[in-house]
Amino acid sequence: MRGDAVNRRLMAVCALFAAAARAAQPIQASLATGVPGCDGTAVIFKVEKAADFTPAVQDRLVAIWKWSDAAVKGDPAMAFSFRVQALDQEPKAVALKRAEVMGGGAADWTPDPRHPEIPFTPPRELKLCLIPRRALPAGALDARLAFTPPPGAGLPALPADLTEAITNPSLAGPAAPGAPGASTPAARSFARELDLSGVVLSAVRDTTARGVTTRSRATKATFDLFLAPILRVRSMSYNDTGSSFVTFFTPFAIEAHASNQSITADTLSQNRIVAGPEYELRWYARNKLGGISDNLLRLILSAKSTSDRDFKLMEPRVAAELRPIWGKANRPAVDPKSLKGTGHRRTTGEKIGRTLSPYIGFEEGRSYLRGILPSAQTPLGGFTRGYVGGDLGIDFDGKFSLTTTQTAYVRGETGNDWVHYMRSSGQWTFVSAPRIASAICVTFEKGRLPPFRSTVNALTFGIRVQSSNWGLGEPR
Amino acid sequence: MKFTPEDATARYRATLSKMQPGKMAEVGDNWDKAKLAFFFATDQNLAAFSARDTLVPMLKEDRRDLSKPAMSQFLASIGLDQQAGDVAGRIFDTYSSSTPIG
Repeated sequence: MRGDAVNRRLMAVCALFAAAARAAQPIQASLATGVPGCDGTAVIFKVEKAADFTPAVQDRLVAIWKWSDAAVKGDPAMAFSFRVQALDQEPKAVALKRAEVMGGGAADWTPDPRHPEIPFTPPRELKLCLIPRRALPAGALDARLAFTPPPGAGLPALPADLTEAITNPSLAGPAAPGAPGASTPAARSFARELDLSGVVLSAVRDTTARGVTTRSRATKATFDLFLAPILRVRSMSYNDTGSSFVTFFTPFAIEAHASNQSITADTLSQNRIVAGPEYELRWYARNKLGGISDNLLRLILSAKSTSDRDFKLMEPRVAAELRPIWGKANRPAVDPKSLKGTGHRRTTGEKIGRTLSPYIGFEEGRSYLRGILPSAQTPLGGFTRGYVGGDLGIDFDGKFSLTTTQTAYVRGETGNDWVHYMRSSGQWTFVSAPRIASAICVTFEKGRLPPFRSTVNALTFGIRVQSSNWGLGEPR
Repeated sequence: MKFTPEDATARYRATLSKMQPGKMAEVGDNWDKAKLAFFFATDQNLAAFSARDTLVPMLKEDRRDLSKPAMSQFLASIGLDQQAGDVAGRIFDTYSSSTPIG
């Protein structure tokens, strides 16, 4: 069931691929998937050029509509024979749940009976939608649709244009998703579902105690995880037609930074875990031509729990963060594939991606210290904090990138003292495939972040894995 | 129906020219072969806005109606990996799937 749902969703996203069949010219008949409003396979009859749409051709197209309109009212299995063949598989008959004629129906295909004096021209395109009982197999399919009304089915005579089968040797299956972007920190941008990086260092060493030397292995490990399986729940997000204001509800995200050493001394990580939902309001500005531009303002509201790695100090809090985005300063490197066929070569500026994103926010919450019994919590008091910072990055053609995040916290609970945190990294992306990318990264991290238990000053060298396009929600 | 596929293509070109005039000037007459990722980088919302701001005025001018689920499905299906010309075709397909008001 779930697989079918994902399959259907991917089919809706996939590009429209169609192959012309042998319907008599100038009416072209084709089979296609991913047609808006059709949750199945669309059968399209189309006259490309207006000059070819003569009254005789109009009559032929209307005859196809009349027959189709009658056929879809009965059992589709009686009128349509639809077969598909996946690569290296036997041809398979597709059981149809129902068939529909798309569009305006009789209002578009017959003259207005109240105004017969008005010259009537039918549409140049007729679409039927064949909805299968089960989702079509994934991948490219060799598809064939024949019109096979049995005698006595009560249908009009089969139009001459439907006597030959319609074929498409490469009916599109689900589209391959794109590769994740390289440089931006996922936890801030919510550009992808998974961002994982880690380092493991292991060495054997001799230690002498009371004159006895023992050989032991010491292992240091640290990892950073960002996980938000559903980036946007559409039903709880807003996007009105005509407006440039949109909202995004991310039901759950977790950001964890942990190491296997002491939290308070010589640590390689912030040793903190942040989890909770987010609601983002986004306003896109219009440019001087009146078009919606890539300059925007993001207001991110969150209700999250921040704790140390061992869940000893916990801070449930609400936060609001404001992020103005200036389009020209926030562009990834242009993918040459996006320009294929245009004859345009990328400029140097288009080969270099950049990120410049300042932010300011405040958070309010309470701190709790967990006792020996997990349920025994000692309230330490409330807090109000403010912070300012920014993300800065440069990306050389998706291969090599440098990023830095700088944040300064004002801690209301300790006399408004300032705490600085920075994280700078360089990475080389060596795998960039649909849904997944991997990189080698060097990171320098210094300072503290809430709940301010670990102070880190560490240089790490590790592997980063990012994944996106999971299809569980919409992109954010 | 008031609009033809050619009208939809011309209107989509005009919408893209309004949203990204610099990028449209770069690709010139071959704009229809460029993918939406060229115009809108990684922002899926802008891609959906471009299609929406072409289709909705066409529906209004021709007094046609498209159901909310069909509109949502159409906008959700606009991907950054699609060529601008294909999106223009899909705008027309969606327009032609709408029903006249009244």
